[in-house]
Amino acid sequence: MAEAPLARATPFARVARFRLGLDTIVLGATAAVIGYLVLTPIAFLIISSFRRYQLEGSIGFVFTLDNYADTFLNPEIPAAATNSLIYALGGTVLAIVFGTALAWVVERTNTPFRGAYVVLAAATYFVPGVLMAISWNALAHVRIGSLNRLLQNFIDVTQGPFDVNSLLGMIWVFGTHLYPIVFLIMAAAFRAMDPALEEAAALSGAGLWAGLRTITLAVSRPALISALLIVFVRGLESFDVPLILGLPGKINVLTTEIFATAQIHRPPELGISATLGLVLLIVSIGGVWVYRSATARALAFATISGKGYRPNRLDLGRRRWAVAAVCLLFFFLTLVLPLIQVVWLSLFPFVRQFSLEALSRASFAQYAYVLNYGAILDAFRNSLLNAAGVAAIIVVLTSIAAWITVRSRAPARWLLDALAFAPIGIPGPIMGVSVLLAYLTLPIPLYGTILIITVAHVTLFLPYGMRLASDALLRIHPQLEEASALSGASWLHTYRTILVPLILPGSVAAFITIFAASFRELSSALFLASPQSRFVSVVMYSTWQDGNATSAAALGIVMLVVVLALALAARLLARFVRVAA
Amino acid sequence: MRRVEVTPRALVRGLAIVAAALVVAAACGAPPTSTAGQTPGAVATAVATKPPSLDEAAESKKLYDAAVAAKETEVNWYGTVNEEEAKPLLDIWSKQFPAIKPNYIRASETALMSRVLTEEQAGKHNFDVLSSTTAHLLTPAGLALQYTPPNAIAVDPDYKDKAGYWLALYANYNTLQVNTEKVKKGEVKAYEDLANPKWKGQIAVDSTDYDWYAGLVSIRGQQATDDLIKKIIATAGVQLVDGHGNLNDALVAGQYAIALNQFLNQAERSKRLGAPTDWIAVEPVVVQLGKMAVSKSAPHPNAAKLMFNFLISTDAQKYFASRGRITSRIDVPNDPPNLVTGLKKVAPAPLVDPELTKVAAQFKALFK
Repeated sequence: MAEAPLARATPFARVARFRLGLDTIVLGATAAVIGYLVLTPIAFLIISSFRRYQLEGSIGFVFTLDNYADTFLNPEIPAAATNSLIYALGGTVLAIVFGTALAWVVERTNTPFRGAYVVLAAATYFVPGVLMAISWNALAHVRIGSLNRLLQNFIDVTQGPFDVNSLLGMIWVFGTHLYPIVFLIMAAAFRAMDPALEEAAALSGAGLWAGLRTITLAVSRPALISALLIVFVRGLESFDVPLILGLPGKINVLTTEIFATAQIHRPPELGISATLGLVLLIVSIGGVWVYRSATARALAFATISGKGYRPNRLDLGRRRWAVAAVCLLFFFLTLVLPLIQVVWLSLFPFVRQFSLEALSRASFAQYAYVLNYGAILDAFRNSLLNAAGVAAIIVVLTSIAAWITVRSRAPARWLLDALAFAPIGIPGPIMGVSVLLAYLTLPIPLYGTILIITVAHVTLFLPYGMRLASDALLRIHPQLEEASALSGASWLHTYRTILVPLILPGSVAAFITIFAASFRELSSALFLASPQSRFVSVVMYSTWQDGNATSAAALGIVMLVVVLALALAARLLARFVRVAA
Repeated sequence: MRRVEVTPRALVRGLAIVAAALVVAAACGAPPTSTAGQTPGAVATAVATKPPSLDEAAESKKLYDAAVAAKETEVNWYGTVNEEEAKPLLDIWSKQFPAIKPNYIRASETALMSRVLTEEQAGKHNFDVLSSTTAHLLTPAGLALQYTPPNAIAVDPDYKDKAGYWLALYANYNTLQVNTEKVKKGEVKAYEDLANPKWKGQIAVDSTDYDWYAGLVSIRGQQATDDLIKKIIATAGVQLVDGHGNLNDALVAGQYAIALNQFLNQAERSKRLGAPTDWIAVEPVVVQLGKMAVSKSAPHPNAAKLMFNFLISTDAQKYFASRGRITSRIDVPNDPPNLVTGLKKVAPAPLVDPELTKVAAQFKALFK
């Protein structure tokens, strides 16, 4: 479809003017809420980066540039920054390759067991980062790693062959843990593809690979860039993997180096962590600029239009079994192997290496301990409700906000886009302190309740919702809304009856991603949790930090089982609803 | 504000007991100590003894009655002791003081301090008692109450703030830790034994063990300490791990043979679970105190004092001893009683800025 490169599609504004009615209120309120949620921690971030504690008989602060000096004049920083870049880029490449390939297999081919792949990919993302890192350390430590010791029976080496405490090891762990985000984003994109373009390509003689490159991936460019941005920034702010795997290998990245610098002070200087936050903020705003310029020709990505369509699946013939085998091998290497290691860890009172003779001493005592923990039911209830609430709020907020940034001609809508994406760079502890301060100062009684963590999480995960909602909207051709408006429908009516059903795949993907992210989030929850608001991720982390790694492993498995049970229940419910309807 | 009187008789009695213990330790042939000679302030861990006239139950009841009269129904204890360990202690509290509900807010060292400072900064007074190894920071922040509870008389004098703002709840003894499957008994007795190519790649240390390092420097001197560590690094290398807990896990799993430094009770706890590990004390042992302080603006001031007193009561300290911790009371034996008896120890003053920054920078440079 040859279209002259139009400016950002804004047909609606030409066809009907905004009345000062429900429409403007809804849109204005959304923008205001997002602005409020995001600007508070950003302001706090900027202010703290310029001050330090001055404790001379009272809690005081002194304004200083020392935080910046300590961070940027630190001679270790260039090496740490280089490592961060390599780590983030490497992990991103891995995640994009795995995630996109899997998304294509699941959405555009007839490979068997597709449904299972979605569950397995989502399960991978649910495993807490700390647990994955510990597990891979136990699997692939150069001397005592279970996998290495197993392979040493077949290969003639005294160490290795794998060394997880290296940049490559870290990249592998990061990439294989975060690819599900890419998978979910790209799957939503591939699901909504009109086959007309691909068919045209095939008719012109393009092979499978050429078709993929020039059509499928090109049309999903917004999704691809979103995925790239999210994973890359996550890589830059990744902390657990570099701490657990990089430190022993003397590989420092920005986050661990700056954390170490902040730890030199007692009390720890938040301002030093804030300087990193500022760097990440600039990177993320830059990312939003890249996204908006790359997706400026909105109509090029619109695959859902007035014509009906049905995305077709590629029939792989007999090769589909080979593809399935490759997928299953992939899941074995990226999910099953680390989980086996976690289960092994959980069977003993202290960390044991894998050995057949130790198997006789295995027991489920750690599980009994974890399940008998008085507040465990509360913790699960809080974690699950909070995660669901956070995901729901974000999906609603960002679906509306994305309309403003993608469709409307509102002034400074690029600012809303940037603000909604900015929190991806805010470190968890800073978010925690900022939210705590805000709700101790404002007359809103959230302190000590679960809601204070909900607020922190809604802010932290807004970026995921925003990117997914933008991608989803870009896939819809504006002609559908135009038709609705021409028939006299209000904006709200159009939004509800036309846009919402069409962006549903994107919304579901966003919901799952954010639910998982909130459920396993640690750093801000650690700061804000209280006896009345316990969270599973915090319980797991505290257990681990107390030197009870094996109980933490047991809890991790329990977490996964609970989530899988819920997912199964959700699928059954969906099927039942569909059957009943 | 109550002050406990130390009568001359009590003082003489105490000194006599300490002197006797020293004589006994010397006579038994104490294990080889560092070559730096006599260190100022090194004191042998005193044998359990009775503190001078203290009617614990009566004093405790006075505080409890005051709290009940003031209609205080809760108390907020902010601490770093893990929840699993704190829970039975809180159960003991609830039996003794049923009218006051204990709320335990647990977080890591750094998160706890950040949280307290942030809350207080915003004018929210939520904590009654704070316990962590950095509780002494409450004093310069103007948040600590100058208070000496009745039970303080039984606490080791080395474990009390001279100015009266904090007390130790327990003591963390810094020792070597070995994996007994890789290190034969007696093979490693002092830091010098680590400078052996046999241990190449097998030694690790916590990446932020500044207090231990500063303690070592106060005992041996800056030059001697740095030379020793450099020698170990040159011969065997030292890996960095984040946190004593992780260090313990890695060592027990066989990743390392020796931890350059570990908390005694951490190693002891693993040992009791059956892990192949043991701790080796190099005297004088550097001791870090798990301190606690009362809030100056406590939301429940009377209950706060009661909790403060309770944590160093015989019952509480006996409980800590049963968990392998080294108590701060001199009349509560450790478990087993001879766990640390006779060990010379040094409890250096807690590190604060700017001293801390210097020490930390030196540490980082050494172990790079």
